[in-house]
Amino acid sequence: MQKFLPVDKLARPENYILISLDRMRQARMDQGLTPFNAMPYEEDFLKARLHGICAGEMQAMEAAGRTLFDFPDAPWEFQLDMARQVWDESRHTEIYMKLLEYVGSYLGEFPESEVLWSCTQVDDPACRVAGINRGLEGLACDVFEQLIRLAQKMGDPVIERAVDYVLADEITHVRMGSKWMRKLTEGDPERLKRAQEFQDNIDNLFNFSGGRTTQEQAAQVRQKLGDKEIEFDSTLTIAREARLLAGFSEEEIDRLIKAASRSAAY
Amino acid sequence: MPDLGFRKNVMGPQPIAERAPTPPEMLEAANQFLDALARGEVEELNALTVENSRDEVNRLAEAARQTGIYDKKRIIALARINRHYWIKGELTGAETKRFIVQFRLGEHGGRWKVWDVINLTNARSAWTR
Repeated sequence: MQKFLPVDKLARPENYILISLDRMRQARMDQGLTPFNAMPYEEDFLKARLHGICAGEMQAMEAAGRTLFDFPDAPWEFQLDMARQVWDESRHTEIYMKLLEYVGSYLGEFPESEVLWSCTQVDDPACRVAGINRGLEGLACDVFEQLIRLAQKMGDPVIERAVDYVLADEITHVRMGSKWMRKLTEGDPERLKRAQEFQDNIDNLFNFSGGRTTQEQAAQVRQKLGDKEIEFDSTLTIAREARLLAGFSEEEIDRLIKAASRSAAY
Repeated sequence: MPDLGFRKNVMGPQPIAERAPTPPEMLEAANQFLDALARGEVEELNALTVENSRDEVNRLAEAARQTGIYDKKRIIALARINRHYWIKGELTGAETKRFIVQFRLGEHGGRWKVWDVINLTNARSAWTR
């Protein structure tokens, strides 16, 4: 079996629509939308957001499995953590498939892009866990925290509790990532630096050109969700509390917020 | 014993929203595009395409023409981004290699038009194109 699987080798059933992130962004721009993901003020926000997460959980499951397979010489405990993560992500995929049905959608209603899998393209396990477990799972903490608040505003305990349950797992995945990034780079500051830089690149990729901010600073916009109209964040926020629980330091979170606002200036 | 195959017969949370219906006019345009591609009708293909993507569609038509003669078409997959729809379709014919195309349809000037095309005939996915 091939190691370090490139993006175009990731298998999907033929009846799935897969498109590159560039084409996805172009399709949004052609409709006068922001080039990034569906934003909270858009009509299909909830369906599109849950769909993106579901596809992300599937790729996270594949990524953890691939990390296990790509690095057979990594410590046994590392492999055990990755195996546990595969199991967690597969459960999350099922949860989100059910949530999709709950909001009147289904897996395949929207296309899937390669962007998350592209973050696995590195041959050092320390970089891999820095990018996937700290970068992407850290992003998941932000996305899920916002979704929980949205569900609370909607008065919807189904989404609120289901996502909270998944968030608890993601927090452990980030902690696992932090633990292994440090353990695998012990006594090798250069390798640690490379791993942190790899994570920084991923954080930058997902700060949407400065469109992100904290929950407190996010502009509020009115939006219709189902039969309710509520005021909610206009952009994806950075979840300080969830990130602290996941083991990010205050300094790391401040750096992430600063990087997001610095991009906005460009 | 309740029938677990029907959600409404199952206790617990019910869907809070309906599925978005697929516009029949969009499907009609998708089929028209696949038919025109199978026949190699470049003018019709161009009429169904927004101006910026016509070169790409002409290249696609040329590739289809070189692959063979088709008498069957099928829509394999469909997904949407807001109100634009991606369609994956296949053309087949006797003793001809299967031709697979993925294209995006969106309304333009009151008509469904093609905005983007990808030839997937020899590709595993569109992720790297």
